[in-house]
Amino acid sequence: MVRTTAAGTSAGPVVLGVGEPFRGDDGAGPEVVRRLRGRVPSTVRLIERVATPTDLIDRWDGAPLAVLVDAGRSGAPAGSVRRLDLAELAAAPSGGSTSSHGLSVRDAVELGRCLGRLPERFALFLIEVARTGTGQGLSPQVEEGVEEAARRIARELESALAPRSPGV
Amino acid sequence: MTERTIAVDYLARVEGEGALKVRLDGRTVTDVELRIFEPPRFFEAFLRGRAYAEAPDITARICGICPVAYQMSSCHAIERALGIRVGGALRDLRRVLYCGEWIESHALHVYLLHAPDFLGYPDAIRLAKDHPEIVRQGLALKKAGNEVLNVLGGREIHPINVRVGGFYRLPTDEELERLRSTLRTAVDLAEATVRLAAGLPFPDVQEPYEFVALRHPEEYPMNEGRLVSSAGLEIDPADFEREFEERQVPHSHALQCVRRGGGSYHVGPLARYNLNADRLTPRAAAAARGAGLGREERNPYRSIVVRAVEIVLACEEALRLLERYRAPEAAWVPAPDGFRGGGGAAITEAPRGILFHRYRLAPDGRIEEARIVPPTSQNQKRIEDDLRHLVERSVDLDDARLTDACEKAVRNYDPCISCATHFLRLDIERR
Repeated sequence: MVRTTAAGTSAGPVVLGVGEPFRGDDGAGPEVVRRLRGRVPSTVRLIERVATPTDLIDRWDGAPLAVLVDAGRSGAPAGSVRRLDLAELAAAPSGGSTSSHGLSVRDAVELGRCLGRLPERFALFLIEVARTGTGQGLSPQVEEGVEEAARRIARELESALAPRSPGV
Repeated sequence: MTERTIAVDYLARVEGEGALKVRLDGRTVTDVELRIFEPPRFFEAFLRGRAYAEAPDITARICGICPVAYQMSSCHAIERALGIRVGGALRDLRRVLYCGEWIESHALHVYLLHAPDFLGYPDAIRLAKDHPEIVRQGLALKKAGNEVLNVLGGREIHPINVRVGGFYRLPTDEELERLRSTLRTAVDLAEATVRLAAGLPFPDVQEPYEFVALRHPEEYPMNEGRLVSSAGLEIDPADFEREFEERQVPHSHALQCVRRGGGSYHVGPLARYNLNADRLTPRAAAAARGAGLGREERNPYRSIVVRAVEIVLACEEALRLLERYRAPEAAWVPAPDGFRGGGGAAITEAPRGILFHRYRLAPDGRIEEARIVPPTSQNQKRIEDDLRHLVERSVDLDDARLTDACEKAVRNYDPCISCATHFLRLDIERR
């Protein structure tokens, strides 16, 4: 699953955190990526926090697999973890934009699609939040969700990177 | 007489949360309110009691789009208080960092927020569906700006490498060589941006602005200069509060800044260009001429062309400074001994216009008082005036089209609403 890009650098899977650690549970995404350090192979690029959704496109460009981790609010119990692929994300109801300068994660994915700059495979992990007021630290349920998401992402990366048997 | 109200409950494609209300009585505009309902953020209050060294990092948090502007204004103001002079290569590196922010912020606004207005699309995604090459170009330019922030700022959001007196860490030769190569490509992209912007269809509007910007004896202004205006003002930035005042208005959490005893004024790319066109770098000047910009430009819609010209300038200037760069002996200039307390103020040119900071420091270096006047609170009254004129000449449009026209007029300013919300005074009435 490691391949060479036009620039000659090797591009492996990338894991990208989205969220603001100074807004309580909104920091769940960056925290998951932090916890993956040392738990995934060195070919996986771990980016704790992407500055703005527009920059996601640059970060996943050329990656065979991009995993995005973000906080979400859907009415599910706090701390629950959902995994969406591209088709599921496109079909999910829009929660409206909450991002600076008007681009949401979903917009960034849509923009990447229009520009022909989506990763080959894509997974979005959403951790349901309990509180997103000012202040650092995750609530206990979200803490558990973060650990679950880290485990599931590590597993997904492991199977994506596993050498395939010849002839299969 | 019929009363008519145009309300935009949530302004799209501007930074932060704002709304707009216009009231008409027949054909007469009775009220125009740009409402900023981002909550007040109290930055000036919680700077009190902090060490001066913390100010650049704390104020950088005011804005995710223009953190460098906050770092620069706070550093210059505090350095004036302490008697630190930053020159040579450190001064150059600061200017390069500021160029990076201009490139990033202007590219975002020109391509993703403003261009859709002129090309007839509701947003950048719909624009990208039909013209992916345009949006690709914009993202490539923005990325060049991000790289400057990464190398000199330490990271691209809320940079952490700026300190009073200079930087914490100097860039390596290898990092700078990569940056030079990125910027060489970016200048070409920026010139293409000017050509694209110049070809857009613009309404024929001229506004009687008083432009206010910095002016430097040699260079297009970013970090330093006298504060000048098209009405003949010329002052030291430290005298800003003598000539300008902030007012509270009931409809907005942001204070509105106006000329003392006068009215609104205009800050940002259009103001900088009108007051400093003779300081443009060679390729930026050529691009401006090619785009048909005159010595004076008073059409707010053509701010997109000026922004594009400023991207050329920022790329060209950053490249020039990096080509002559020789690493200084130290990454920062230390404060001289014997500080006994005192104050300092400074203005720098944020992408959206002048940003004023003033601090009063105790003898031990703690901040006793801080004052910050961001560009959007200065343009806020001017935006309302533009809207009043727009509505007066467009009363025959139906509500939907008038609303759309108002939103576009606001976007001419690239307002940063979250920067503008701060809180000056709290009155408590007790019985």
